[in-house]
Amino acid sequence: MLTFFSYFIQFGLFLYCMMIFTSYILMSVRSWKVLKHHKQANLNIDFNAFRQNPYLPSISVVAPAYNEGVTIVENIRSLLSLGYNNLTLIIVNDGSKDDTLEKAIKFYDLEKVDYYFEYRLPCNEIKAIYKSKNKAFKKLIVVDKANGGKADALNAGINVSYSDYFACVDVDCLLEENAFEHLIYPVINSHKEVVAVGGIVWLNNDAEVYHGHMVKLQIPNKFLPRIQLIEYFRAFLLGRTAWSSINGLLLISGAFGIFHRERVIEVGGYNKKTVGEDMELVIRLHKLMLNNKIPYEVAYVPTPLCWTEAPVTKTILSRQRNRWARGTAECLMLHRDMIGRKKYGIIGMLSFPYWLIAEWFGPFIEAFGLIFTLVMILLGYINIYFFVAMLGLVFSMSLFFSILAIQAQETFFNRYSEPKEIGRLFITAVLEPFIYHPLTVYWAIKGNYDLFFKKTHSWGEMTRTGYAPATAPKKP
Amino acid sequence: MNNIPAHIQRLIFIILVIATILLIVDLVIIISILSEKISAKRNAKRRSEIREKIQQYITAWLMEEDLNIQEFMSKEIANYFSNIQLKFKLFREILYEEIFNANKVLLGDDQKKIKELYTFFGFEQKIKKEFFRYKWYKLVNATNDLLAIKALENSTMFTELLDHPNQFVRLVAIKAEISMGGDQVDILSEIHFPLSDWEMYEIISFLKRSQFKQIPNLSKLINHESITLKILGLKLANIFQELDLDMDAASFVVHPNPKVRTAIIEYLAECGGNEYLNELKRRFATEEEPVKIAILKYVSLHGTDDDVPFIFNKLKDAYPAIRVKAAETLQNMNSNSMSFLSYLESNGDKSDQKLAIHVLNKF
Repeated sequence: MLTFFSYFIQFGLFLYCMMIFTSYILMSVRSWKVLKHHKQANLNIDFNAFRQNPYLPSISVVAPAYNEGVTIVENIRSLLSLGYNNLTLIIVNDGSKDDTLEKAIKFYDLEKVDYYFEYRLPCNEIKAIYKSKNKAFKKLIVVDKANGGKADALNAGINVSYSDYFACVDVDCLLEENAFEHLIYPVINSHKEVVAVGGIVWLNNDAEVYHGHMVKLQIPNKFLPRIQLIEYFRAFLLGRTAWSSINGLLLISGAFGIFHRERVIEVGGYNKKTVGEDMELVIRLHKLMLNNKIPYEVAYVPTPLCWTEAPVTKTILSRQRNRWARGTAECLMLHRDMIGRKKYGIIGMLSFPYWLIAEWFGPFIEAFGLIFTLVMILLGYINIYFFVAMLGLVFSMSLFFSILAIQAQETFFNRYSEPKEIGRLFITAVLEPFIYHPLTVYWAIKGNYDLFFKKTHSWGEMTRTGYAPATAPKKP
Repeated sequence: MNNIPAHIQRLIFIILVIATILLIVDLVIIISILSEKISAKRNAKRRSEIREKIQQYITAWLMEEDLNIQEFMSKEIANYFSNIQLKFKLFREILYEEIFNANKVLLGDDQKKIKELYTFFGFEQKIKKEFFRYKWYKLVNATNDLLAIKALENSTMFTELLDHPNQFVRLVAIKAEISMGGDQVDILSEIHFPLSDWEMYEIISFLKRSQFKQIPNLSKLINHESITLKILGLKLANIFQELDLDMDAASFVVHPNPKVRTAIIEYLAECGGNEYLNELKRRFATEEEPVKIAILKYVSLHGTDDDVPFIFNKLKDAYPAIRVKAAETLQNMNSNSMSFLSYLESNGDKSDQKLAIHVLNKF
């Protein structure tokens, strides 16, 4: 009986393994094709011409700020330097306890104005709206509101916005100068209604930044950010690129993306009750369009446009992963009615089941598989040679996808010039399955435990170390 | 290992083979990336040296006033490069890039001199070869280069490409056909794929860059059965201020496609009279947001004092964006309507006051 049970479980685990690897292979093949086309297409699009074009859809950048006093002036400066013609910058001070607002008022010469808006989305009280007396900063709007969290701050920003699209941006992210020209391209080149567009978010720990612009990008020096960089390569280059090509993207990073303002208002804005508000919003947009049978697209631009700092300590990283795990679980549970429903097309039949099995249940299955196999070996039900061979296969496959992701970066973007740096990245990829992956599995399980048993709904604190000292760029 | 059943042994063997193959593939990728990186680093210095010399040489040719290209070459070329260098792929690649970089920023006689260089080094042949490559982007890049350097010769190949499934090929074919002197409207009428907004912007900006004073026969495009060609026609008519068009504007105002309605209202606002004022006001309530905004623009350009109640009514529209546009219409229509807005600022209810302040301060 136990032998039969052991075989049954082993067969299940083997099937799971094969399903995951097959889906990775399919995604990689698809992504490669899309990235290749995208690279060639980009050479034939004059993004600089977009900058002067007054007919393009307008965009409001909504950037929530909470206790960002140290960096707020620099962050606003960086966002103001974006070149898009039809752009408004809305900084939402989410009841900061430090001097975030005071610094912004002082540096940008802000004054309170009678700005006309309506609470179309639920959010905490907007206490005041500021605009600059200086004409040079006429694109800037600063909203001061009572603290309510990121989703609440974004809703407040959307209420104040009059643009066709709004962009949610983490205030401490660095954006490429032509980020919005790239993001708007799918909107103006689609025959369907584009409800949201995401872009690649990459890590720039240890990069040299001067006045809000990246001077020199390099592979992070520390092990943890470096390993996360490989994760980002895999997720953004091989994963999301493939999903978006079949309009099956469920997640647009909360750090950077643009959304159709009216459609977002129609679905009720950001959900304040989940920590996965970015994913939850995208799912609701899919649902709205599919329920109403409106041809639509959730697009994705596979170009690195947004740079952010990865957590450098295990404690902060564990909080982030814990939150991601909770967010995933919450979103999938909230919209469980979409799973396997033909009505929801690719989303219901493919994206949702994938997220359910690979992203939510994946860590549980992996942990269970490992513990079960070890117990069975001890009891003599599984052959140790077979186990070692399987371990070798799993390792070689996971390494293969990491190497493939690095190769994709090299082939299509080539952002790192030093061979030594790339060499370090390869070594990190080899170590990842042994050192890092078990930790991510643990953090994901812990996140689910916290959600279901501790009823945790908080974000957890995220401290940032800041970029390399701001020095003037050397002349070439 | 000997105790293991044969079928398990076979399975272990297969698994190990797969794992080994994957590891070998990984190793090959790693080695190829690293060797490429190392050689790119080595070449970077060489590239920049060559580039600098080529730039000096191009500048010398541009400054040259007395000699023709043949004389200049026979006299000067040895000062910069050897004949052997000229045959190197890397050298020719950089030379090609620099010729086109210079072409982008130069005008008039200087541009002509750059074209002489391009012809002298036989790059025309190189580009023409690209036309027969299988890859779409080779064809597109080659055509774009020929367009940039104004060296496109008459060819029938582009006519067939107007219906190519790849939008970049179609777009470059349109530009090539127009550059070769074809009738713009006839060429555009041949397109069967619907145009995206981006393609329309590209075509419009290409026609503007080509310095056409007018686009004859636009009515053919406007009356075309394709919706997107109709929209493009109306946009072109608006931009080129074509007043004499043979079209049934009234039917476009009630066209089922909102983009057509927006385009015709925008055209009528800029180039038409006030004859559609009542019809548009009547339709306002049932229209979508972009059409509503176009109607308000039309009213602001053609409206009279009689239309103020209509605009006042829109200050209570369900959408705040429309309310702001309506207030802007009051501000822009005429001095009387403007005074209504000023009245609202001081005497309206709190919401109207805020709206008036918002618009008057151009927030």
